[in-house]
Amino acid sequence: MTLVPSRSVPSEPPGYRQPHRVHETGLDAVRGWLLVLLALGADLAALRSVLLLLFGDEEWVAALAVIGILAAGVGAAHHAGVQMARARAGDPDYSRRGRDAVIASWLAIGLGATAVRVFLPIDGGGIGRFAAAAEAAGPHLRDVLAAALFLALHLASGIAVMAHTRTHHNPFVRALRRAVRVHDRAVRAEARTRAAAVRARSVLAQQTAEPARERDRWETARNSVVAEGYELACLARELIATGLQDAPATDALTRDPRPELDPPRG
Amino acid sequence: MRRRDTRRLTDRTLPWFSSLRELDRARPYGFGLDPRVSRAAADAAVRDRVAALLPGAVDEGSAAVLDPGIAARTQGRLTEIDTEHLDHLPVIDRLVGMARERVATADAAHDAALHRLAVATADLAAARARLGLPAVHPVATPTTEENP
Repeated sequence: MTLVPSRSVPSEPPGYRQPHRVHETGLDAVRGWLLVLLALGADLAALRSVLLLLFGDEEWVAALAVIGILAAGVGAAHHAGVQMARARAGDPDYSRRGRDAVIASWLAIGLGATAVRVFLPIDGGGIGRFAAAAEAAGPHLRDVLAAALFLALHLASGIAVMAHTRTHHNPFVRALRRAVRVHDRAVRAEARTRAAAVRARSVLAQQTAEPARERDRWETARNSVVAEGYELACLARELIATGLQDAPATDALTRDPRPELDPPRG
Repeated sequence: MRRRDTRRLTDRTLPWFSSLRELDRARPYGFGLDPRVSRAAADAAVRDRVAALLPGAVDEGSAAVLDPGIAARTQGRLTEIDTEHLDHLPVIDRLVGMARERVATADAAHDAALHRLAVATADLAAARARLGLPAVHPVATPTTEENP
């Protein structure tokens, strides 16, 4: 078996050739995602207040809407990042219109929520001296500031997701990691089955040697029975000699104590 | 399995061994020679017969007087052993057949695993090549008895 790879297809985008990404530790990816998740958390908090304006007291509807809109925003930002990575790599799957569409939808989500926050005022709100400052600033300025903060968070988290995806999206690296995992599993399975095959062969060797062992056991058992017969014959002669108490008779009785017990098999 | 060890494995009572270890340990147990039982009874019989013959029914030429009985007993037991030996042979044949079956199964599984490994290795090489990583040549496996 040879491991020399087939020649790579010329149409493969060269931009995905990032071998340094292969040996990234899990921490590198987690760190990036952690920052994105923190930004998304802030985005979520801001979006919640906006949606509570729309849905009033129906908290669970507002919660569902927050999650859905956040997922849509993150998904749009992620796909925009994927398109950017494709564009950077020269991938033929790159679509400029696709990228523009997802960016537009992502912006629409942010701007729509901002508009809701600006034009639907909240009564009161804020924490501590910020509440007092907001009251002092007047209701409209307070809503504009909150909306601007939300928009900033939306932009920051979305751009973070885009940048992260643009940097880390690489189907070649993902394929290689998958191939390594599959290869590791195949190596382990091969070792396991090879050991099982060796064990099965040793069992076969055991059983193949059994006829010879059986022959030995058989001979031993026969010899044991014949020896027992000789012992009994000797015992009979000794008992007779003991009973007769005559030396010449003892000599004659014990001269040939091997009777024919096991005639040769023909 | 321990209970099965103490039971005679005959051609009729041979079970299907679910594990390779059980098959490895399976033997046609037999030749029930127990000298503690058989010798005591035989000794007593010989003593009784000699006591009955003494003192007047034997002389120095009576050495072989009990030999026909002893020979007959020995022949009887040899016949039992020969019969048991003949019973063991098909058991052994079947055990060998089962072991061959296990080898065939294990070889097939190993061949399939080797095939999957070859595919995975080729895929890995292709994935490395796409990324521009250098090709990996396999380390030469030393030839052994098990791995010719």
